[in-house]
Amino acid sequence: MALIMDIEKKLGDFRLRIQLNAGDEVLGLCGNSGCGKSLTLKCIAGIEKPDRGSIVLNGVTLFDSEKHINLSPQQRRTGLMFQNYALFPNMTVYQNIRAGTLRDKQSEKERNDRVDAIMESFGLSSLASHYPGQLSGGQQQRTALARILVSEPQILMLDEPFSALDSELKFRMEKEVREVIRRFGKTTVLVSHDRGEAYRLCDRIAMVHDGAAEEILSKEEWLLKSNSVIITTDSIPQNVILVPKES
Amino acid sequence: MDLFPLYNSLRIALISTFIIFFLGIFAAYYIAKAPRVLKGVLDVILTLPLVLPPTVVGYLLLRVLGPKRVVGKWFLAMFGIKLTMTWWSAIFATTVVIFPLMYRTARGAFEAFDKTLAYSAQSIGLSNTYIFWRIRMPYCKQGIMAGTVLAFARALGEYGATSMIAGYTPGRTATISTTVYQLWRTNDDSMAFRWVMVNMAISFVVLLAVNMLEKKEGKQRKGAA
Repeated sequence: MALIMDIEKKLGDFRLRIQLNAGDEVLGLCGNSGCGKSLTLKCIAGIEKPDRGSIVLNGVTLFDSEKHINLSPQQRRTGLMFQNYALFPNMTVYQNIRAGTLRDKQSEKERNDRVDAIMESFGLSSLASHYPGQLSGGQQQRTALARILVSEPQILMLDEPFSALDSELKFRMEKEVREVIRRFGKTTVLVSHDRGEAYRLCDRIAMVHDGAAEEILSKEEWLLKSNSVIITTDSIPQNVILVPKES
Repeated sequence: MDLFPLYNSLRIALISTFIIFFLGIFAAYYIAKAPRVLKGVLDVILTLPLVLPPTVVGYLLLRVLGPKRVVGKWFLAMFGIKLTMTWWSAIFATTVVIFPLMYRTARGAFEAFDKTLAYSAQSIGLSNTYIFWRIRMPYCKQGIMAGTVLAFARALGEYGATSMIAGYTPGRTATISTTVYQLWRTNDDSMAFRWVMVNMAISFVVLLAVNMLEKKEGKQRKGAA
């Protein structure tokens, strides 16, 4: 199972040229804000249309400019989590998650069982009737992840998943998200500007500069090249912190 | 006191508000997505009735709907219906005059909509119709309701275009505003004053409703942030 993409897109003066190839692994896209990381995810999800190229996910062509294929976001089965989680403010936690099951034709009972099971596994059962505005940052993130996973996506894409959280919560949620990714088991793309976060969560990492992705490296190779050193590690991956090497 | 003008004004205002509710939202939704140049042009044309004197709107409507003009003539020949000087002729006038109010408030509300909500909804497989009615509209509810109420209040008070296209026939086309003018013209000051008070009372309640809706919206946004 894999994501193979090679696309080009122009947005005003900005030009995105991205080639990626990822299997059942966690691929990190790292770079400064405005470098095109998020735009890449939007192209995969079908929210933005590339000018040229192709995107193939698990053997299904999502986009191909030459063959004039451009599946709608609804048809693509991609799971994209936005920085702000994008929970529907007028729906409860239960309704938000249930919305992820609506495209599949099934009985009400099957649907409700599906929602109940995922809510249970995310520890959200007691919050079913709460509205997003009443949730903490961590609970919002869990709800967003549950809503995406209940929709059974073929790929999981996380756009700066921890940027809206304070540092204490970040630490906890990172652990939870790592577990979620492990259980998901398919291709996951993580966008981050935090090198430590990328190192801790990803298998391979590509740096993105001015709309172009550099070669995808294993995280160990990437570490050497990125001029960073690990300053603390005690075999718990959570505790790895990266700092720039002193010149 | 013959209450026909009140009844007539209310039915004209309700029907035209119902029409522009859908028309205004439809225009706001599609024009917001249009290419920039087209958007600019359409925006000016659709907002024009807001700044034109109602008499100019009335004149233009008569040029189109009058019994000797293109559309009016065709209707008369095809269906034997005269489009002017009936009670419902006023609906043409009020609809055109209040359209920009609805269109602009709805557009403002749609522009404030968080697009990531629609994107996430699409990627978990929700249809665009579902997203529009179940996510976008509830999100923009307060703005759209305020626009609707404001448009209704304006429709209720429309005078210029209405008097030109529907005229003033007691018991047939008279509205509150045309009645006030007629009573004042014929020196029936006490009756005119009564209708003025009726009109003021309705407008007062309606504007109070708009203010309360806007306040509620402010609070909700703050709560969400």
